[in-house]
Amino acid sequence: MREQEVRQVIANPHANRFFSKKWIILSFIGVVLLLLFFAFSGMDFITGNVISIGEDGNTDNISLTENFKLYAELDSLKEVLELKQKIKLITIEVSGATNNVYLGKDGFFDLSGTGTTKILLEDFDGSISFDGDNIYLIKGKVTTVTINDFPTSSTDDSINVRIDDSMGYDFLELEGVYLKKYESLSSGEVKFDSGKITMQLDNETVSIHGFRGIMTSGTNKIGVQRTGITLDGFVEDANIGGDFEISLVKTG
Amino acid sequence: MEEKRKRNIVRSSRKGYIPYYLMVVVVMLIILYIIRNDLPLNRNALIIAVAFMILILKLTEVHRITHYYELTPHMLLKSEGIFVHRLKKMSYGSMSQIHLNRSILDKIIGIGTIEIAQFSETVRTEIKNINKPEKVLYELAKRIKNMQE
Repeated sequence: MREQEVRQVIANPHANRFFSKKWIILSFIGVVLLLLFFAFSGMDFITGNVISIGEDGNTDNISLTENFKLYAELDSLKEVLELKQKIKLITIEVSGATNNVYLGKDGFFDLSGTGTTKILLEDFDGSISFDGDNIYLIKGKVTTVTINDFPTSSTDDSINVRIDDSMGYDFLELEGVYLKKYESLSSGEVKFDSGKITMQLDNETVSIHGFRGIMTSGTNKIGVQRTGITLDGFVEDANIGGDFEISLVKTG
Repeated sequence: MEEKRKRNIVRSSRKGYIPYYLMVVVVMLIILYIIRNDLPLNRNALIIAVAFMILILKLTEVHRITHYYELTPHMLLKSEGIFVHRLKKMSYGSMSQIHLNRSILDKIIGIGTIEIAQFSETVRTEIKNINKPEKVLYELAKRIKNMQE
């Protein structure tokens, strides 16, 4: 009986509360539920935009004739978009930037004091990350860099270009970009098949798969003034939700 | 000249942390499943999951390094903590009973927990999840016997 009493009070006064099993198990359950919830509930768009690119980042093998034509004007990017792929042409318009555009091994172009600057990167192959206001990284190879109408090219086939400090931009255009998936809760307008189907969005879900075309962000100095992103190209399928939901999937 | 004494330190086996390692494996498998099936993988949830996995692996190792038992010639020292270091000294003469507890799983993976009861305390001190527990039990029993004779 005495032995039984002793066994009932097994307690460690020096127990490490920080490494408590209870908290670890609760954290584990929380992490598992979090992953499964976002995977199966379709609520991922609540936190902002979700964009993914093709596995190989190569857009050349996308057959345009099998896809829908799409033109969308949506809210600006809320989260940082990171792309690593080939892009036919990147156009950047900045004003008042103080960054350096590094060219090749030693060269650089100082943007400070240039006022409004227009940068064209042709046949880009590398990484670019940006959101609705800033470009955070550009690193890759291009065939030609044009800054304020002065082209720079290399005797080699390509020239390395790099911008690795955050740089605010007015306008950004990616021509020939591929987005494997784009999901957002957004307002704006979406047109399919050259405007045969037009939808006005008011804070509604947009889910686009397999977009290939021209993506712009910011406000262009020329044409209609609009802040946000535009997608002009082709998609494999799309799903627009709200008070009612429309899904477009090409058959045959 | 004092002869340098070889320290006889006992630490918990990594096998004792298998349940925590299994948690990491489960989280990794869920992430792989989500990626392979092209399901939405929330970035914030992914960051939390990766942080959880790193934290578990780090914590288990830190816990193992900072919690140890040392068999000195006259007493058993229990040491734990980095920032708040706690040291408990138990004379072999003050130990009344020692027990070896092993579940079926413990036997399969070759670990065990030794419980030490002292005359002066109603609570027991545990040397948890150690490799070759019989050997440590025998060594402790020998030292207790020598001290109490």
